[in-house]
Amino acid sequence: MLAWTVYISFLSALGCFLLPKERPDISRQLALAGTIVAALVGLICAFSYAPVDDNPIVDTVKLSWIPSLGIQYYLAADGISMVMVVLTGIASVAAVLFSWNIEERANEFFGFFLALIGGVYGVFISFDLFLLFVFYEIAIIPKYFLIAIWGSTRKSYGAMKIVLYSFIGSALALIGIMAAFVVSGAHSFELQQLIQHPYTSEFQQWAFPVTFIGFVILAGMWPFHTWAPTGHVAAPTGASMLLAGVVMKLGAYGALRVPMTLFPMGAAMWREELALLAAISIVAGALVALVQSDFKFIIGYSSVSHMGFVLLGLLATTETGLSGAVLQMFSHGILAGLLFAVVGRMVYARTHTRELSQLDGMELGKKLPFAATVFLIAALASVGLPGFSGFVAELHVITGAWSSFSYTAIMAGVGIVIGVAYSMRALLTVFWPSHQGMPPLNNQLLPAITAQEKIGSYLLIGTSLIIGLYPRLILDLVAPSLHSPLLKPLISSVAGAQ
Amino acid sequence: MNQLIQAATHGDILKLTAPEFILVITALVTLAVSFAFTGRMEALRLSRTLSWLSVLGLGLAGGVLLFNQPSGDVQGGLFYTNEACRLVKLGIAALGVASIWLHMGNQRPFPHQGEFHALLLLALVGMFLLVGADHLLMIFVALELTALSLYVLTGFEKSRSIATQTALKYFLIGGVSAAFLLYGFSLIYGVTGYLSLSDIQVALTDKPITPLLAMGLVMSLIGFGFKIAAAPFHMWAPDVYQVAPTPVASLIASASKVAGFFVLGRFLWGGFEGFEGSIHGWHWDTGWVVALGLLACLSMIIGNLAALKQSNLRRLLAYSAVAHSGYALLGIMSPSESGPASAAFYMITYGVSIVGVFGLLHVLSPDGQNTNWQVLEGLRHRSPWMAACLMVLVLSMAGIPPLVGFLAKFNLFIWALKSSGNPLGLILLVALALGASAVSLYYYLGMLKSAFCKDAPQTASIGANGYQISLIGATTLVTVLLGLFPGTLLAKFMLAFAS
Repeated sequence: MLAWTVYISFLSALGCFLLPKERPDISRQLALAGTIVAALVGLICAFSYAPVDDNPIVDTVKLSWIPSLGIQYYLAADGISMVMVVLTGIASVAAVLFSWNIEERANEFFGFFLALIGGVYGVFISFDLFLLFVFYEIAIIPKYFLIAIWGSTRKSYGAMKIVLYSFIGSALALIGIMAAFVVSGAHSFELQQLIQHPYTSEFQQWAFPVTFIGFVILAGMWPFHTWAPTGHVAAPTGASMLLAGVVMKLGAYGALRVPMTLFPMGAAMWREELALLAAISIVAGALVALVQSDFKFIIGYSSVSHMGFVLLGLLATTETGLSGAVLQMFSHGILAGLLFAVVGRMVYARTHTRELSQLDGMELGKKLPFAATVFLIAALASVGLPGFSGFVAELHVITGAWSSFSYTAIMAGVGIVIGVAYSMRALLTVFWPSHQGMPPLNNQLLPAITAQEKIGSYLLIGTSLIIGLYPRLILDLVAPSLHSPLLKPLISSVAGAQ
Repeated sequence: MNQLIQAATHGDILKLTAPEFILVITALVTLAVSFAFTGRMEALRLSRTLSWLSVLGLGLAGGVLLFNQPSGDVQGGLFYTNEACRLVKLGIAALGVASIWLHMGNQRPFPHQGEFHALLLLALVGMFLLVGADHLLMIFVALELTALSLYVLTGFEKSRSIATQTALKYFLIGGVSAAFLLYGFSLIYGVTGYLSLSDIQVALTDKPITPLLAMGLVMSLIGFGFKIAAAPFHMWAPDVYQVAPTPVASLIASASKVAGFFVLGRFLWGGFEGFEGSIHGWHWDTGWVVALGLLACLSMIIGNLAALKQSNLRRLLAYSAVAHSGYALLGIMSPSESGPASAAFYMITYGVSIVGVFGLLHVLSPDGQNTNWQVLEGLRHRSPWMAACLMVLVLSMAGIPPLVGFLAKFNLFIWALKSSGNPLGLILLVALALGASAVSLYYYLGMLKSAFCKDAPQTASIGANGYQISLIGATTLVTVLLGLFPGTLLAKFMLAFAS
């Protein structure tokens, strides 16, 4: 049944392309229906997820696809996949709601949009590495069109940059996958088969960093992160929500699923250097966000900073760290979506500017109190206000990092403090400027917040709150996977090295 | 069907070469028909009749290949057929039909249709013979039959001075390359005393490589390099792609390359196994694999970088074709039988995509004069379906899944990496190829950007006729379906080459 998340998305995409372009309303409704159904399928599967014995992987479809290379059409899920599927469902529904104002070529917009979502679902539930890679690449091309056609600010440049970075990253990842297949001598790309092979440590020493960096380029790891702010800013709101919300997670998820699972010894050799890069991502992303003059760039760089937490959690390679990484993926997926929704849809679509200096005089706090409140909640939640998902996630990551490399945990803590600073700076400048009494520069009335925006905001805030209050919803799903044969060598090899 | 023939009589030879015979006869028939009916029949109708005749001939040849082709060889090793030859010839026949189909889309055919069709068919005969050649003389004769026909076809629209000029350039460069090839062959003959590849292989077993033999091999490789348009021997390609009549350009870009790659693999592995040397990471032992590696590197780099700067789409396709030759060379370098098989699969599927793109360009610029980037602009407005087909074909060439271009490339790289004694030996070349693909994505996406993101300077809807639509539709469909369900065909290729 889980496979239907992919099929529904692609079928709705096809449907949208075939709809007449004069009727944006039908495309929207189809897109909303498609994403909701897919999200429900994902939720039902997640709730009925029941691993058998020791094996956390529940098969969905397993067919021979290209026998001469031993490639299978193999969809399955473990707890981590389930979490990501649920995230994709919620983020995609919200992104459609915040794309309700797309009028121009709406059928194509939602077509590309759903094709992207289909690819994302596919990555999360593929356990054949060839298939995983196919979905990973399918998710690249729609991004180009979403940004190049419907984007703003240097959209051609941003679109090309994001696609070339993604493609180069996937090329590196592909080298690792092919090398793992060839060296193992197995006639299969199935993950469970490949991990049977004892890869030599000389091989892992180069294969791990190549594959890992290939994947984390898409997760926005410093110094390969520059595509992320540029791309997120150029993208239309719905696409930025997806890019920051789920596409960046593809990189982190891929890094966990492929290099860290296949090459645990390589991970043990390189994790300190890479964890330092992740910690630098946290601090550098936050520092750069602090000095941006474009509202959306602030959120763009904050995504780099928050994804640094995910990577740091992964590289801590302790159970706490890995659970924290998954929690943070989920949490950031929800909250980044919300932040981009406020910036792109609620503010920019109404004021047509994102310059802090111009927004400063608009008294948006009074004109758009709803936007101000949502932004306040989202910003506080993402810097770790207890009660929301960001808090539990960051707590897990920092605890995990502390036991591995304590200085990275300190850097992460510094990152959180800077995070508070840039969030407050943005919040106060945009919504509640200090220079009261100055005549507003621009006093026209802004359109009211629509029902779709409200529903989308409630959906995202509610999700973050539920996970914040009861994180075991995710932790219980993830726990069996951490003890599975897939990840056990990783955790024990690191524990042994210490 | 699978009887093995050691041909001794004329009847046996006829059985082995039945497809080639059919094509020669078809060529003669088209000549005769055009001689009989020129002036008595409306030009367009005559042209279509000739095209249908050619398609019929190719279909018959294809039918024989499919259902009634024995395997075997002619005594002395002049000519052989086996499963692999049959598959590749079928691919060439299909690409030939596609090119003729492209020609049928012409509303105003140029004069001398009979000669045009006859030459096109003779070029295909040359390619067929090339695929079956197991003998240096045969290789040379078949290559020249193909090349001479293509020289004439390139300059066929002789009222355009640029056409004559380009054909002359193509002819001169081709002539020089033939000289290289012949010189190389003569050295090889001098060293070994044999012309048949299998005899050469036997004569060379356990012998060290001598300077004279090395020189012969290098000269031959230069000659082949010209034929498959591998850098640095590619300079004829952009001009020919730009100026040749569209069906001819598409034939040069697709079928002729398939044949060239097949015979190159046969020549090297059939006659000179043991002299290949090896590449392992940064280290290498001298041998022809190293020379091919050099050609592959240069082709991937020069082809892709030069394509970035092109303003004419046909020249862009020519440079990107150079890059694709570079990728396919990786397959020839692989020591397993599956390497050449994957190269053949790659070139045939690439041929399908590029014929489709030529079909699209033919619709957008029927006279072939103006194929600048502007012709693509606003294609989405003018015809959404054409734009969708362009997207599929171009993304397949760029190697994006789930289209066949990706799968063929993946298969190629896997077999380049996989070899029993030396796994991952070619990994640096594969990495270079993947990096080069990333560069190519820039210009391929640029094409799509023109079609999807720009507004049209001209909003007139596109008048494509049934032939053009069916060609574009069919190539697109093949690209998608083979990408989704490649299993059977790919397995056939692997199996055929393994035997």
